[in-house]
Amino acid sequence: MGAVLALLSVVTVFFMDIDAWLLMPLVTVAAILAWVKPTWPALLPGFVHRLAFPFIALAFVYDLTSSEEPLPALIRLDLLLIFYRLITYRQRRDDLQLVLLGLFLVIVAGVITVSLSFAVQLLAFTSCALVMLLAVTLEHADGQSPKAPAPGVVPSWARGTWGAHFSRLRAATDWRLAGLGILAFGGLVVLSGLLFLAIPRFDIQSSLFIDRLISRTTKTGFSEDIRFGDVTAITQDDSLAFSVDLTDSSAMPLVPYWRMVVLDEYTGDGFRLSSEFRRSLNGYSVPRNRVNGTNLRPDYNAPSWTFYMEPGISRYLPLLGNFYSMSFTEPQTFRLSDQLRIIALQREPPKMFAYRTWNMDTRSELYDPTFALNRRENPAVAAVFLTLPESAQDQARLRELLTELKPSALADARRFGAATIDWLEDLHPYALVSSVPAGDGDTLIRWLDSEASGHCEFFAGSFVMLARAAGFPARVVTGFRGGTWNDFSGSFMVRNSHAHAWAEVFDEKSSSWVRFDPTPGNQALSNLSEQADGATGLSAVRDQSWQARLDSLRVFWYRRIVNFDLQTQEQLVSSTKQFFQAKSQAFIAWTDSRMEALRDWVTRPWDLHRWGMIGGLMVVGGLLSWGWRRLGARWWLTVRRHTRRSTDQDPVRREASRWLQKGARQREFRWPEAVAGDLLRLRFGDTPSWPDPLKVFRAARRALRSHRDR
Amino acid sequence: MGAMSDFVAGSAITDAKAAIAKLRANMKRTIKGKDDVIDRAIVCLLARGHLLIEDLPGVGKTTLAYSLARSLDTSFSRVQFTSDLLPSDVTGVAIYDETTKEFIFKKGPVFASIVLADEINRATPKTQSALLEVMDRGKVTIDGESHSVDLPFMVFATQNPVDYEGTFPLPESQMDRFLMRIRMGYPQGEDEIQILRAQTTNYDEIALDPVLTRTEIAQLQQVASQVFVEDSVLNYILRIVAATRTESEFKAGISVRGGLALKHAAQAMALTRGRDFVIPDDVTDLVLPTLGHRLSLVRPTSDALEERRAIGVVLKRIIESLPEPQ
Repeated sequence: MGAVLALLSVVTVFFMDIDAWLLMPLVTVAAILAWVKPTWPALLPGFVHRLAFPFIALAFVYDLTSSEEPLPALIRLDLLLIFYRLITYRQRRDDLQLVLLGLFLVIVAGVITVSLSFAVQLLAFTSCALVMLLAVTLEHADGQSPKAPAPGVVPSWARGTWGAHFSRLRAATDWRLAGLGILAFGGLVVLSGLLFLAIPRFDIQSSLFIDRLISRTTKTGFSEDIRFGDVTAITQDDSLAFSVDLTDSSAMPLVPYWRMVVLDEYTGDGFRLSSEFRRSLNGYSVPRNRVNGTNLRPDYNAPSWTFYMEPGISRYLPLLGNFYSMSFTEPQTFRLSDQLRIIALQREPPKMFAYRTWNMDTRSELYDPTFALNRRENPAVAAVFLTLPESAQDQARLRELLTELKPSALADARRFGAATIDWLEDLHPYALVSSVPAGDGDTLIRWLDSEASGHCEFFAGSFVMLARAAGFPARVVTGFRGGTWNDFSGSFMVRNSHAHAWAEVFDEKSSSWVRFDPTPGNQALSNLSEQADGATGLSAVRDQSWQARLDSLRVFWYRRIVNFDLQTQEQLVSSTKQFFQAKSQAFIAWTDSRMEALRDWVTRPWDLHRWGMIGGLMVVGGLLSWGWRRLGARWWLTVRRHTRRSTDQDPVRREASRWLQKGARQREFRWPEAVAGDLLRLRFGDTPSWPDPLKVFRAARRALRSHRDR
Repeated sequence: MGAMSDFVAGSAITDAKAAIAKLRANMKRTIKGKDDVIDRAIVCLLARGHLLIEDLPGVGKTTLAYSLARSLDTSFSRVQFTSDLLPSDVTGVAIYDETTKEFIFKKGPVFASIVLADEINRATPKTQSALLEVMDRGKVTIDGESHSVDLPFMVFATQNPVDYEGTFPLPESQMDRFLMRIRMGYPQGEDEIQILRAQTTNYDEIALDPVLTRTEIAQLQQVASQVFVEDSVLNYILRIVAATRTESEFKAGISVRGGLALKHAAQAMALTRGRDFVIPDDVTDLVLPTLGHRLSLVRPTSDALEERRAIGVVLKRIIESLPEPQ
């Protein structure tokens, strides 16, 4: 039982980003071993036990001083202690320790991950702990304190097989009590569920501080500095990145491009956010609940989008384009970049993070009149989007490459984009592994010169470089492309495997940044995305796998705990209340009408027919009860007897034993000679010699009753 | 209901009950105020066991054996064990017959249904083991020829626990052959007055009419062996036996034969109490007489009586710690 507890709690650590790669498998293996082969702890030499505690203490102190983060160190200490408990035979107080240690892990994990699995774990954990404590209590029920186990000696329970343990458990269990316990536990679960519905939400998210103690590293790497291959690395991960609830699913483009980070500066082996933008995105701001976006058309019929972002994705929020307004569940410190049209939180959220946008622009063009205006007044504004590789040789080579395009293609951004994409597609096949030919000079230029295959970042990067060489302001955008529609939760799911990089080129005519996806095979869809018909679009990306089922549970949970206002919760509580009120009123009305009918019936004149009916009913009732006493009870006893095997569990023997004990409990009571003999015979006698059990029990009941009456 | 109550298992039980009552009443005429001792002797007879009576001289050990033997229509013999008694004095001897020119077997005193072995611990181990072999196998083997003893066959052995001068105490392995070891104890005041009033001084003057025939005894024994023992009661016996094996105060636990003895004795006890099934009380009442003599303590004791008492205390503690099947 202890091992199950330990496993349950240890599994939670997997959900946290705690650096415990050595301890986790160790503890898991120890727990499984303790299950499968309980004899092995005796094989440990004695010095292990002597050295264990100094070692654990030393490890903790070292951990604390070296990592300077208290919580992960505490968790590692907890893991070590659990591990030690698993490899030794526990005494009773050690069991309680194990329960506490496990509880600590589960609670910490729950606070940090805020996920549904936490609730399930807590439930399983609670039931396990209860059963274990019950077992401990039962073991103590004989009133003798158990002897301390000698080290190196296998205690007797460890030698038995699982079958023997189970049969002993079966023999020791009082099924009525067990049923009652299960019922009580179920009641507890229902009650806590109701409480969960009723409590105000805000404190779950904000008032616990444990998560602040953990500093996280970005799991996926959507940061302001991306090297070639980073995005592709993300696509190897199939886990959920974020999910989106949409009030009107027809607003969803066929292939949505979720913009997260916009990168302007080329570094030679990747793109990054130039220091100026970085500063503007990292500065401090007053925490706010709400922000107005750059889409200035307030449209109250427009759908709202609710994003649930998994922890560890990025501090940049995925968006489709300009929006009218955005709100958070609680005040946040964040910056909105006017020029890049992206939003960065000051810190990457350590747990699930939710936000809602209204009236979001889903087109493939990002309308940006400010940039157009600024550029006209001061062309230097666009310089940052026009920087090329530093060496003159590379720049010359880029211009040289441009000559391979038709001259007409250089006329405006749109035509240039289409032509360049075609040209790139002809030259380079798409592959998840890029092969850049060896040689001197810039990586991108070398790749462009070859006919090597490449992944999305190479295509996007080369496209941006070519566009800049041609004089169009251009930038790389990273984020996610596409997603699947989850039928079970009715929400849109985007996985890490949807990570992508593409390009945006500024089009002077429309004063907007036009999205180009140069990765082969994507352009066609990318155009489609504008006039996607929601219904058909979503049905094409429907996901009905088991993974989707699990994810839908997650979304369900998020929807429950995330609250943008108290309204929905109040609605839920009030509707629950209304439901019960309506039911109770209906019940009262029903009882009233029944009573009314009865009164009518009583006050009606009495005639022979009615007397006859009452008499008939009484006769039938009497017959039924007689029949039951005569046959039914016997039949029931027979049925029960044939479903048991051992004579010890024979219901007749048990019943007889019950009566004998009842008699023994009565003061100054002696069974009549005949009844005592019969009861003893039913309890201990041979089956063929039995008198009729029902008659004996009835006689016993009579005897006891007459004794009590006296 | 009335018809349904006791002893429906057949006329065998009713007959057995009547026969036992007759036997008990008959024995009571000479043994005053010792009903439980009489019952145990009868239990021993019904369970086909042998009885070891251990007490001071003159409390009625021999009288008990006589009264049982006289109540049965069977042969009876008495052997006074002394240190110069030879095995052939017990089992018999083959002698050369001049007229027929061959060896003929002269049966010893052991060829009787009830054999009283008085002061068994006075004989040499060789003689003791000769008797114990007969007890175990019911046969005497002389010159390669085996002679069966009479059936029913029951040995009443007596010994004096106090006077250990010049005795050869029975080893534990041989103690195991006895189904029970009981004590007589002094009679109560009123009973003793009755004994004093009685005229009889000589055993041979014990005038009792036999009430049971040889076949009746065999039948009783047969019925006793068929008394039903329910699983939980068997389990209870097993738990008692197992507890003696893990008890740290005992040198060794009860053997399998000991467990079987307890079961057989409990069956016979149930029958003497008029039942055809065993209840836990039958078992608990017999734990001390059937198991006590098979156990010995680890720690040394000052004398035999002290050891008996200590073993009794430990057994009592074991029984109290084990819940009876309910």
